[in-house]
Amino acid sequence: MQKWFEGLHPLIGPGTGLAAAALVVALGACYPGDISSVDETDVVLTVHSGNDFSAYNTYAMPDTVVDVCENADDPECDNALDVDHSYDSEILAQIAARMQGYGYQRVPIDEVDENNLPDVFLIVTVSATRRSTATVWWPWWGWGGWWPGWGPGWGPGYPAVSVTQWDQGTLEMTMIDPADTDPENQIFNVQWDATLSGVLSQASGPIDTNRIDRGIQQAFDQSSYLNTN
Amino acid sequence: MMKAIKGIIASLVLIAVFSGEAQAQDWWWGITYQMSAASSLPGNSDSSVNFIEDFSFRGFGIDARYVPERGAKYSFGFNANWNVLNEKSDFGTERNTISLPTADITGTQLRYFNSIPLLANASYYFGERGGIRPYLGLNAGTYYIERRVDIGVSALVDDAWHFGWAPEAGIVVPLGRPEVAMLFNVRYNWAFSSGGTGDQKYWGFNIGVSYR
Repeated sequence: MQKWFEGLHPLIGPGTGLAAAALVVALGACYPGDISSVDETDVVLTVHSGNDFSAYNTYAMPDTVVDVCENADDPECDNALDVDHSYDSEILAQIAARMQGYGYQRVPIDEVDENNLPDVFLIVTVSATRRSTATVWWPWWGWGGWWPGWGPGWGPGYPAVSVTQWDQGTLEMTMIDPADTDPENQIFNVQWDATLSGVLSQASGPIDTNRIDRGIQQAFDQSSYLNTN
Repeated sequence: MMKAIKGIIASLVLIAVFSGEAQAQDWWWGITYQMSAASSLPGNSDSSVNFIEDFSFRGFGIDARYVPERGAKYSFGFNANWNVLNEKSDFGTERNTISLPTADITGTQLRYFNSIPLLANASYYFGERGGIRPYLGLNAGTYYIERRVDIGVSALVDDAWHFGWAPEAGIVVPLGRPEVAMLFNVRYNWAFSSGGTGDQKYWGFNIGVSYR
């Protein structure tokens, strides 16, 4: 299983695309079937520290969903898109409901100070970026058809380049234990992190809240170790 | 991809035709259409759950058998095959979460299993020459197997060469002429664990035409 995790590589680099194309050509691998709608690109990834969560009882969560690329100077944000914040309160309410369901009591963020720290902070962030990839194919049996009409067209084909571009949205929930941090050295150990990502149907259009709801529910469903009840 | 498949089939047919004419009459050459189903019979060290559950109608092979003398009850030969299994599991179904020690990944999954068995074969035939001939066979050789899961815009891939074997039971049915026959067989493909990938096992249901 470990090998699989290491093998997790997004198909967004041209190198990977070339490698995949080479494999297909060299060994004739075949990939029938396809995704048929953007919501089938949704992926929920959760990771955790392996620590025991039963010691946590309280949490604090900011009242806004933070746009990580807003005012950021990170190269990752070069292709950032504007994020619609009109659904922030719905998203945060849903997360709060699931946290409550798992036995966590919320501490209002404005009551948090050095003397009144929650057991964990839950920070919710969002980003939307335009991504692209180029894939080069060198088909063995290019144009010209096959027997009986293969004629002069038979032979190595010309390479074909396809460029794919898509807008990807990501919602992330990050749980940090303030007792397990070293702010001076900027070390914030993450106890739990959930990433919901998917291809946006139209970056400037309305957000499909069903997809976000489904993702949040799934993130908590597959993280039952968070349950302190 | 279909063009590639057709091209390969056409090449194999041509190889079979020319080889059949150039070689002695005792070589039987055949092409087979192959269907597959993953198997979870005991002995699978990888997982108790099949990588792919769906039945596959994608596969083909080339089959060569050398009969040492006319009327012999046994043959030796080799075969090269390509089997493709695939499955799509939608978001929210039980099979679409991959769990690792400290991580879980959920999403619509497209699973692919590409297997290329390259096997030597020995078979023993019952019945009489010229009639319908049931047979038992044993294949042994190598399997190149690539397993791939597409999830979101990412892919998880592992691939390995495996040693493996495949017991086979089949029937040869003459088609009116002594040099042409239909071939039906069921094969149990068992590729042993290799390169961190566990045993891979699947049933093969093959239909073909053979001639000498």
